[in-house]
Amino acid sequence: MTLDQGVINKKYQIQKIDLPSFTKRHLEALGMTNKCEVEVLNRKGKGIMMVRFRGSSFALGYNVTRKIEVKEVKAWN
Amino acid sequence: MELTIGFIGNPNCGKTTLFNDYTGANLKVANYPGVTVEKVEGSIIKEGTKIHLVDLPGAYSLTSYTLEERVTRSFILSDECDVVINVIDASTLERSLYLTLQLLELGKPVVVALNMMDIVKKRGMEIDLHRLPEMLGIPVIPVSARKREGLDILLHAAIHHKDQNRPDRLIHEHDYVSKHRHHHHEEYAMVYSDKIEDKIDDIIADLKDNYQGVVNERFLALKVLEGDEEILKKFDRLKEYAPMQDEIINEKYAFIEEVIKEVLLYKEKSDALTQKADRILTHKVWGFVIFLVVMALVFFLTFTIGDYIKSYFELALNVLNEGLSNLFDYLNVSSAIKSLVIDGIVSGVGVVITFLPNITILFLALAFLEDSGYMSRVAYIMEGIMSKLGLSGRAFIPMLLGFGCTVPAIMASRTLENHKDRLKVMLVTPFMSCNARLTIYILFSEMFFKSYAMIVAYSMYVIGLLVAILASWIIHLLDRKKSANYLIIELPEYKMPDLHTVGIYVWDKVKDYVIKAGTTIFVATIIIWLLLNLGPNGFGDMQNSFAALLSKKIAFLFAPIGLGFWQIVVALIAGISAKEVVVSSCAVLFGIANASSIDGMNSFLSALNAIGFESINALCLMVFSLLYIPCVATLATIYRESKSLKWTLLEGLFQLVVAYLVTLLIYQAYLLFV
Repeated sequence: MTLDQGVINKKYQIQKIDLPSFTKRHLEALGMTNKCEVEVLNRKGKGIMMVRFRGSSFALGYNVTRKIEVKEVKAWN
Repeated sequence: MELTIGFIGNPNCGKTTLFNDYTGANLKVANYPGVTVEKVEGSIIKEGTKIHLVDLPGAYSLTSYTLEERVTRSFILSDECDVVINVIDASTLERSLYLTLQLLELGKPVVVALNMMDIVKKRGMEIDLHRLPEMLGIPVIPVSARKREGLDILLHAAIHHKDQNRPDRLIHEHDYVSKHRHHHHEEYAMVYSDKIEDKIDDIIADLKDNYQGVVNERFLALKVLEGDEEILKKFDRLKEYAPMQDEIINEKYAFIEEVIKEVLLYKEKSDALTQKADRILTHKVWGFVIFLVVMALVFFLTFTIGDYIKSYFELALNVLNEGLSNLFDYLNVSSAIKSLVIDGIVSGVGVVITFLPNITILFLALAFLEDSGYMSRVAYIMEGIMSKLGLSGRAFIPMLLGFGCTVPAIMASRTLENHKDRLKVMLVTPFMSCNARLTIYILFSEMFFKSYAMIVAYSMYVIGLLVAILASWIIHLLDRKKSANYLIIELPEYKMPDLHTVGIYVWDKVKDYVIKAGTTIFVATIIIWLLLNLGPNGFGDMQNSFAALLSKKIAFLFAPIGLGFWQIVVALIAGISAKEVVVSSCAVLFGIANASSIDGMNSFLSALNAIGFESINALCLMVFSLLYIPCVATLATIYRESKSLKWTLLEGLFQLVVAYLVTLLIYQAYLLFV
């Protein structure tokens, strides 16, 4: 699945970032690297999102979220 | 002894506040990324050392991708920089350490200033301040830039470490056993896997063989492996090395995770208040409505409180007018000099100064919004709309700043990565109504629309915003080479605005406004007075003055838009120097001593009615003033930022055409239906 399909309050693990190298490097510098966990804080529209990773929150546009492959991190019960 | 220290850190980490603390400077800080876009310098003397402090633009990394990163990197790499103070927001330690590791690789002495420890404590997180320097091999000093705590010890550490190019004792406990021939763990905090370290060794050997006098070899080797274009251009023989960007970045973050695991306790704790506030303020439906209400509230306060204080300014201006008039009569001063001072300078500059309370309230409100952390959320709220216009939500921040002043708003467009986006934002930002135009709305809406004045003035802001959006949309439709926009913006935590920061921001703007009144508007007022009082027949015949004769010749062009009055044409032409000059020129043109007072407005209204200038003409004047050619300062900024005279002239022409068309539509619709 891609991040734009993410649900509020759920956590996802980054699998692949399929964005132009400039944008990919920018995200990586912010800490969105492979296997990094991302929590969806808020979302609207097709997939404009507020997410949290490595202790910081970011707003990401749909053009970004739809190009990030993730898998859901199952919460421990 | 002299020492140069560079302050570097992620955007919004408190660098500029720290710089202000040391230098006593009043640089603007704000709670959103991209405020410092150029390096700023200051000097102090400490412990017998003359220290040059350099505040560098905020950067998340040291690649050569963005302008800020390039400015920062080239400064640190230069011989100019002796010590680097890496300012870290302790509440975002994990992300901030990425830049720290890159700085360590540059080979310059680095001292970490761990700022915002109060937020860490408030959240319930804890940082092991003994283990962190052990793992990084550099001093880590906790400071609070806002409370001015830890400042002396931070500089002391920087002075003490100025000659230290090797790290302090590093203590790491790694699981894996390296087979690499060098034992780098004693030399560097960040040691890569054997595969990368072998490549680094190969490149360093290559550098030594093929290039002379190379310093920072390890940094250069890593940049080669990261495929850094700037470095590869300089060392083109090294292009053959296969890039390993992903491995390098992943290994850096793997080490950061190791550090965080050892030094940061309760890292999952986040600010509950921010999360609760965001649920409401960035709601998918209410977020936009709340934004409009917030902006309406800003203008409500600007009018109500601003007008209340303004009445005292008007009183003072009346006293000054009467006092000067009596003094000139007593001194038998010639009528020409009396007219120049009272009808020209005092009326023109004075009326602009009386709006100072409104301007102050507007900037106070904008400063509160910026420092609270709300501004970055606006990028998220507007992303949906902006993406339909071919722009990212981030582009809305410079546009929003345009409500304050267009000049810094145009400069803030630098934070946009895409050059085409920057030009587009520069093109539409002047449509956002700045504080200078507020003086026109207040005066004309209060004269002609009485109890509806506030609504009419607020509608100017909405019209400006709608025209900017519409213009962006049309440009997007016409743009054949559409490029995708990628919104990525950090969202700082909400916080109570800091009074000192807000004070600096407001003082900066108020000072600019007063300086402008005393310089540009003062000069423009004198020129207008001269052009209105001098003519082919000599002095004093305003109807046949140079300004009147010229304006009467071109006034017919303005008739279709409801502004075919020569006096208004003069005011509009003069207003290109600064938009407030439209108001000051009107005061001079109609000889109104205190135009913004109740008596002054009544006299002004009668004078305008006498030439056939009615409510619809006032509305047309406000709309045209909102949209037409930006002021000279804005045009100069556009030229500086775009580096294109053609683009600057095109922008001026574009705005003039848009202003004419929109005003034409309003006036002709009025004539058709009313």
